[in-house]
Amino acid sequence: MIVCVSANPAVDKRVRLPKLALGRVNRVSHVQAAAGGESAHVAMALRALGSVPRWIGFAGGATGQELLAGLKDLDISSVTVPMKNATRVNLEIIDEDGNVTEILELGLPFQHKNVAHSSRPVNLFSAKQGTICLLFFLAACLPASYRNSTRI
Amino acid sequence: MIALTHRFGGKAFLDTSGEPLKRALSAGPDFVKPNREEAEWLGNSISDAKSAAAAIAKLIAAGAKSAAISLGPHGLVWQPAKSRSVFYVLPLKVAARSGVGSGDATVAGFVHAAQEGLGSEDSLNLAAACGAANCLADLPGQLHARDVHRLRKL
Repeated sequence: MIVCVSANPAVDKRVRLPKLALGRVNRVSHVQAAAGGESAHVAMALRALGSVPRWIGFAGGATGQELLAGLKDLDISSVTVPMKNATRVNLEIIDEDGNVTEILELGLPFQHKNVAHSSRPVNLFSAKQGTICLLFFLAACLPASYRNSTRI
Repeated sequence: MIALTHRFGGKAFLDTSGEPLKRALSAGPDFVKPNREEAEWLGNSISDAKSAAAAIAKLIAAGAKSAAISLGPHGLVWQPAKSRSVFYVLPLKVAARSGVGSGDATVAGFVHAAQEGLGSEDSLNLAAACGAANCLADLPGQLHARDVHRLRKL
């Protein structure tokens, strides 16, 4: 079993336009959106390689639903801690010359008060031998009170 | 979480940087892969494979069992667990759409290789191929196995 744990997932949005002009209205020619954040990227790449990863992370709002739907579409199972705040969006802008500009939302630091409802303890690994656990954390840290409610 | 993973006989692969990485190293993660900028907090200026290998030595001395550093378009350096050898793979040339997510795809390659029990050279080859295949994908992480297989043969 491979478990991909994310403290700061996202929805990726990739837009294409002829040229990015600062201080001007930019109209895009093509838009794509998908589950994002490092952990989701790894899970999706693993799925393409034939592995069966499990994604675990926080998700909230319409973007959180979009994130989970994107994982489901790729046949990746997920365990979610529902949040009151919306999952962040990472914007990638590609122009005709191949220049890539990224605009990344920080995402909110995890706070227990932002958990949408009290969920059952998450059984991350089912105590299986040989589990590979991938941990992706930015500056977000889990408070001790939440760690105590998360059974591994 | 690293300690708990080990308690159940699992392996912990870690992707973080700065203070969280520094704190996590003491727990002995099985694999870490900071990119060049993220690894430079160790004090090394990383400009090539040799300086990347020096930074990897510091990561392993600090507690990591294995470490890789991506040099972006300049290649990938990796020291496997329980090995004194450091491996370097040259970058694969592809007509890239975007490099966003390639580091994550590289991690996926290492994870898949660990799961399949591949040897060191095959593991690094797969990881590099995954990173390159991600550059061809429609979206970050959504690489195609056919691209990975083709790039592994280069």
